[in-house]
Order: sequence, then structure tokens, then C-alpha cells
Amino acid sequence: MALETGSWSRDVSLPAGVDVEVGQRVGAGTPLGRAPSRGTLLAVDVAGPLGIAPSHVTDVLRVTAGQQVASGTVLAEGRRSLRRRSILAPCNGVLQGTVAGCVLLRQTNVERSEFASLDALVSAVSATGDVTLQFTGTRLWGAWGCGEEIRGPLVMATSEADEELRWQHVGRHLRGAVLVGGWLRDGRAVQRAQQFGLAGLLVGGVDVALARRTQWPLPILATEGFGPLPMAATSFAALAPLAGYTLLLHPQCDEGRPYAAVAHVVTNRQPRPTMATAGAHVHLLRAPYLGQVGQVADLPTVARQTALGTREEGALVALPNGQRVFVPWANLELAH
Amino acid sequence: MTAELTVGHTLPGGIESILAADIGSTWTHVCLIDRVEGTYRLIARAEEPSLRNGSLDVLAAVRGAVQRIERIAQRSLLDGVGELISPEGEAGVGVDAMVACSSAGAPLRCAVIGLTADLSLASATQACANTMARVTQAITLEQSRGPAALAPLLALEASPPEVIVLTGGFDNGPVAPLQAAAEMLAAVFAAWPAEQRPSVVYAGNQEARRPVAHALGSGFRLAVVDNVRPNEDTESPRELQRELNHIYRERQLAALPGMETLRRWCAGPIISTGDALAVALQFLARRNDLPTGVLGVDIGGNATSLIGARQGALHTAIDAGVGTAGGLRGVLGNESLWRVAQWLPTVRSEDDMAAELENASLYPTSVPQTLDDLLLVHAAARVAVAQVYERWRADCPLVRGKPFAYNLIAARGGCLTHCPHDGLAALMLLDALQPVGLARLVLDWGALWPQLGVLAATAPLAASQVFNRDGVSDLGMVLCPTGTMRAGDRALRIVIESPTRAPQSLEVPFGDIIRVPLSPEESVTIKVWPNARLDLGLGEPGRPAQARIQGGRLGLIIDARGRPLQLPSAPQQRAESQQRWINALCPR
Repeated sequence: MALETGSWSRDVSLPAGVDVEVGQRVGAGTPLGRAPSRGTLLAVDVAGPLGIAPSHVTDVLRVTAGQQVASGTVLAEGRRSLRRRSILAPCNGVLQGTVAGCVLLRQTNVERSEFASLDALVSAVSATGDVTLQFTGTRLWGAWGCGEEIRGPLVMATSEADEELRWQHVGRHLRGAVLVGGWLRDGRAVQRAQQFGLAGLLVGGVDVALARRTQWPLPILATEGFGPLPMAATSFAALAPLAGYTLLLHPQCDEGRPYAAVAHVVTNRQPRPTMATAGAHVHLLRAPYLGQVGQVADLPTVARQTALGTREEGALVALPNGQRVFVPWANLELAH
Repeated sequence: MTAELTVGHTLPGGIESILAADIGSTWTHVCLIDRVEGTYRLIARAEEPSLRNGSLDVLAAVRGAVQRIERIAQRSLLDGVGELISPEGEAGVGVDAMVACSSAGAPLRCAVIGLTADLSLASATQACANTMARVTQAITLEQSRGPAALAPLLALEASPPEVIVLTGGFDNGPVAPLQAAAEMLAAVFAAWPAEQRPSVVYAGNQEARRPVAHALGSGFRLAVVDNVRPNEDTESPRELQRELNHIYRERQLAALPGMETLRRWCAGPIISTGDALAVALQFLARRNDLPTGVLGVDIGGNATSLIGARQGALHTAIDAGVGTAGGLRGVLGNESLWRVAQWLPTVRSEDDMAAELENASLYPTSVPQTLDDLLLVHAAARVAVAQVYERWRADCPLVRGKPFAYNLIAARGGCLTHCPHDGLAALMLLDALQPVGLARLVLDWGALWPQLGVLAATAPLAASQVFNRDGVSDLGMVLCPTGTMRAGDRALRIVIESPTRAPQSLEVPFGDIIRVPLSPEESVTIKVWPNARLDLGLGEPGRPAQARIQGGRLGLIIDARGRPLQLPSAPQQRAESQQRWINALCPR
């Protein structure tokens, strides 16, 4: 499905402590609890500074494996020429062992706070620290994304789904916003977005040469793919009334596909149709119709010949320009 | 001619109906086999995307495909809660057994640690490249002390691999550096719970096996295999590759969502698709009584592999990152867009091609809908297959430095089966592999071979009967001389003699490819006189030859474009040549 309006859930693992309870409503910035993060492992050279063979390191140690040490604690001590030299712990941590003439010191584990990312309801908390969040709103699945998860107020930059997002759309007053446009080709728009501190960009298609850049200055999500592809009309239309709401941009594929989400009250819940329903709105996923949204006009009961000449199972889809085309199921997803 | 597939642990007697599944990273294929008048036959087959909104769900994909089979065969196979009904009931409900194989697990992230970059590390890296492992870190331990020696190992913590291959040293060489490396690894992962630590495969100096095992301690899953580089002149990658494939099965396949239920449904273990395909190819080699064996080509969505099966020996090359769906990004990643472009019958801009291929990789379960789209995917597939074939040839001692030595090319993959004309599939294989001499082309038309391969382990009779009757689409024979000469000059003179029709005489100009229709049932004798500059694979240019051949869906293809295949350098002229070759094999 390209776009869903309704409810969905997400599990967050918080083994170091949960700060919320079942039934609690949480905001995007509410800390839910803590997850441990393993401290960095450091190699502290002992044999080199003390001028001894690696096999003799254990003779000069002042601490033992497994011992907790504070920053500045003497780890090893010895003489080099006539001077006495000490090797000090560079941070708090646990001594893990000695190898290759070094002491391995693991920094003390740190706990990082986890947040809800969007307004949500805590629907379950397990004894092992797993929290289930229930979101209500609109979620838009993307095709490609880059950068880290961010959120910011949604701003519609273009008035049409097929209008290019240009550098002129990006201004200083948009600091912190997620800008929505039809499609993106102009590298200057990205540069200005970074320069003016925008949170991210949400478009239909991204120019392939632009997308191949290795360093991206800010998160970008393309809902359709690469090239001058307009955003699907249904997706653009669903976002427009949500201008001003906080939009979460999750450009990574760790939950399947990248997505953008907005939490809002959903009053009129329609039953979800299936693709195999006449009248269902479908999103087309392959050239030459990639990115278009059409309506299922007919459902042939047997496999039909495609324009290519292969036989596939699929649906007859009415496109916005009035054309009717046969599309294999593999190239369709429910639009909303 | 028939042959029986390899017998593994067989099912109890009385098995009538079987479901066989192959769960790929992009598509899941399931087929229903049942006894018809005493013989096992393919009853129905179905495919279903393995991905749901970008996430893999093995059980949902298998259930979806089984439900399609229920509709096709008009037979209930799942109960009200989606559980497999087994054994088969009296009213023909359910099946007696199910078997499955899979390649849906992500490739193993593998770190290779060696003592010297140009010897053991190179051999181990090369060995890993031909498995379902992707080398993410290659570390040389040229220093034995100080933070500089430890830095690359400490970096493993930041992006931990799933498996570490520790190698180095010739057999009977020094032990200390390997022991030190093992101590370093043990220290780096000391704080990790045992179940989260990477598996370690030791493939170095045999003398160091015990000290390495001792230094690592009991916290690692350690496997010891043959030294990949026992001396300067010898490489021994097989055991390492076998072990990596074993870890792939145990670690990646077993962890797939839904796999536990599927295991419960299955009568035997779920093996890797590669292993199942190898069994099927060995069967093909035996069935056709081929002393030269069979060359299998598997063009998957994310991975491309080549398997040479000859006289019981297998030689495999896999690239787990190139394919015709998600793997298109791997093809593009090698900056080989110009190599893709050279196989197209039209001149297209690089940006346009890149966008279309990247988009196809974003929606891996989508299928080409236009001829331009299909030809672009086929062009990318040529690059993927040629890339793996080059490596396969370099690694295979049987064919290294020798001309093409297989008489049967057995190919499979979605881009071949979702193809409107067999000629396009044949041309793609000819371009990518550039075979020499006389060879037969067969296709896995129904994506059945891995399923039959895994079935062979439990019900060999069923597998061989279905293979013989329903498993192979025989495209026909190809005749390909090697060498080069002026385009348009006579390359070959051929006389085709048949007991049922008048002799047919042909002259084929150099640079052309032609098709002689011969039905699959037709058996003819061909006599060939090549130009003095061309060799029919006999090792002697100009030497004539004759052979008795069987027809096929395409009949006999004569590829007189020479070897190595030289494409015109001018883009427009090259595109016109490609169009001419397509027209020759795919008449309108």
C-alpha cells in the first residue's frame, strides 16, 4: 500500500528501563525509557611506552581483568631508563584483557533515551521492557530515502504533484520544516535547504544523478523513485490538508520501505478495500506508468496477454488520462 | 533416456501428493505434484512475492502461493487457520508431504582476516566471493603488536560481521601470528554474549589449529577447515565454501520470519536453493548422458550464480549482489552502465537507463511491461552473467584457459521465464556466455528445478518423473564457431540431412546469427564446413565436422558472430546490429 490513513503500531525495546505505562498518551519528544548502548572498546598501549615485550605486560599491570576503573586510574607502571612511568585509564570502564602489548578497556556502558517520534498511545508494556506504541494518522510509504530519521512541520512547497521543487521554493523562513514538492532535480534546492536549516525534503521522484551523490546534506525521501516522477496524486492530496502538522521522515529501509508519517485524528474510517476490487485506487509500480494512480476498472478471471506479449494475472486499470491498460498484479499496490 | 536423482533420506512409502516450495528473496515458487495414472506429474504451480511492503515474510508468501494453487487445482490444501493439511485425506484434501528450499536469507556479512594481503587473504576473499557470503571487511594483520595491530579488529565492533574467516600461514609454518590474531579476536568480543558473537571459521596453517582454538576459548562457534592456501602454489577453497554455505543455512535461512512454521510443515530439512539446484543440474547431466556435463546459469533477483556439473563434480561461482531485481543496483554499482548500453537495440542516455534500472530495483517484485524495459533488464542480466562467468572460468581448474567445454547450458531466472519469445532468452545466454562449438540450450520454464532438486532428497522417483515430463523447456541446439574474419564473408557452409525431407544447404555470413526451425521431435544430421579462419571448437580452424542433433522450440541456432564477440564501436551501428540479431531469433 502506498498510503494508509488509520492506525499502526511499532515496538520499541527498552531493556534498561521503561518510563511510560499502558494507556498513556505520549508526544513525539516524550522519553519512553532507556536502552543500553555498549561502550567503545579502546586499546591502550602499554608495551610501547614502557619499553617492554608484549609478553611482559601482565607483569606491570596494576589492575586485573574484569576490574572497573575510573578515568585516571593507573593501569600499569614500570621504569623506562631511570624514569618511572605510569599508564593511566583514559576513561571510566572495565578492563577486558591484554593483547598485543595493549590493555583493552571497554568504556562504561551508556544508556540512551528512546522517544516516541510521533504522538502515540502506549498500548502494551512487557516485563522485559518491550513497549508497543499505537499511532493514528497518515503514513506514506516511499521508494527511496537517505539520511537519518527526522521530524518537522510539514510545508507544501508546490501546489501540484507534478511541479518541480526548485531552489526558489526554499527560503530562510522554512528552518526546521519538511518541505513537500512534486519532484527534485535541482541540486541548488538541496544546497539551500541545508544552508537554511530545513529538516528534510519529501518529493515524488529524485533525479538519478543527484541521488547518486554519496554525501547527502539532509534527509530526503522519494515516494516514487528516480527521475522526473510526480508524487502520486492521492499521496499529494492526502498531505496537503496536513500542512503545519509534524511530519516524521523515516528514510531508512529498516522497517521494510522508507516512510513519512503524520499523527492526526482520523474520524471517518473507511474499510480498507483489496486490490481485487473494482473501483479500488491502485498505484502503478513499473515503467511506463510508474508513479501513476489509477482505478481498477475490470478484473479478468484468467491470465491475459500484456503489451509485452507475456501472459500474466492482473487488472484492467483506468488511468487519469482516460486510458485503460492491463497491468500485472506484480506491478500494482493499493494506493490508499 | 532417464536417470534417477540422488537418493537422500526417503519419505515413507505411499506418498502420492507433494508440495514443493522455493522461497527466493524476491519471489516464492510452489508446485503441486501428484500421481496421475501411476506417474508423478506436475499438477499446478504458482508464484507469489516474498516481500510484503519491503519486508520478507516466508510463511505469508508460501501461503499465498499455495492458495493460488488451491484455486488452480480446485483442491483444498490449507485449513481454516492457514495450516497445511497433511497427509492427504480421502476426498483429495491436503497433500502427503511438503519439501522446501530457500535463498531468501541476506548474504552473510563476512570479515576475512589474513596474515598477508597477496596470499592467504586473497585466496580466502576469492573463496568467499563464490558463496552466499559478502566480504565486508578484509583485514591484514601485518603488525603483531601495539594499537595499530588492533585498530582494524576494534573496527569490527562498529559493524560486526556474522562470520569471521581467519586464515594465514602455509601449512607447517609459524603458529604465533595466528595465535595472536585469535587472542585479539577473543579480547575484542569478550564482552559480547556468546549467541551474538560472530561465527569463526579457521582456514589457515594446520599446525595452528589447536593454539587458535585454545586462544578463542569456548565462547565462539568455531569451525576448522582446510587451509585455503596450504603453500604458495596451491589453493584449497572447497571446505571453506562448504562451511560458509552451512553457516548461511543455519544462521540466515533459519532466522527468516515464518521459517519455523515452514520447517514444521516440511518432511525434510530446508536446504539452500543453490544446493537444490546443484542436485537438479547433476540430474540433467546424467539424464542427457553428457560426459562434458552441464553449465547451469541461475539469474535471480538479487544473486547470479553459475554451476558447472560434470561427472559428479561441481564448480560454483556466485555473486550475491547482482541480479535482475534488487540486484540491478549491484550491476550499476560496478560503474558498468556503458556495458549495459552496448547490448541494447536503441541508443539511450545513461541517465535514462540508470533511472529505469534503479526504479526496477526499488520495486523488486515488479515485472517488465514493455519490450524496451525487458531488453534493458536483459542487457543488465548479460553484464551480471558475464561478470560471474568470467570469475567462474578463472577459478575452475577444469576450464581455466580452455575453450568453452559444456554441451548443455541450463538456465533459469525470472527474466528468462517472463519473456515473450524464447529467442530473446537464447540471445541473452549466447551474448553473456559466448559458448563455442555445439551446445544445447534448456530453460527452467516453470521455476521448478530447485524444487525438484530438494524433492530428490526425499522422493527421488517423483522428482525424476516430473523432471523428465514437465521440468525442461528445450530451446534447441546452438552452433558457434570461434575466431574472427571480415563481416559479410562466408563463415560457414552447412548441409542439413533428414530422413523425412530433402537436404537443405545453407551459407552463413560472418557477423550473422540465423535460426533453422527444427521441431523438438525432429532428428537431423548437420555437416558443417567452416571458413579456414574459424574453428568449430575442435581446436583446428577450418576443420569440418558433422553431428546428429535433435531440434527444439527454436530449432538450430547458428551464431556466426565469432568469438570473442566483437561489437561495433559506433553506438548507432551497434544498436542496429543488436536489432538485426533480435529479429533473426524472434521473427514477427
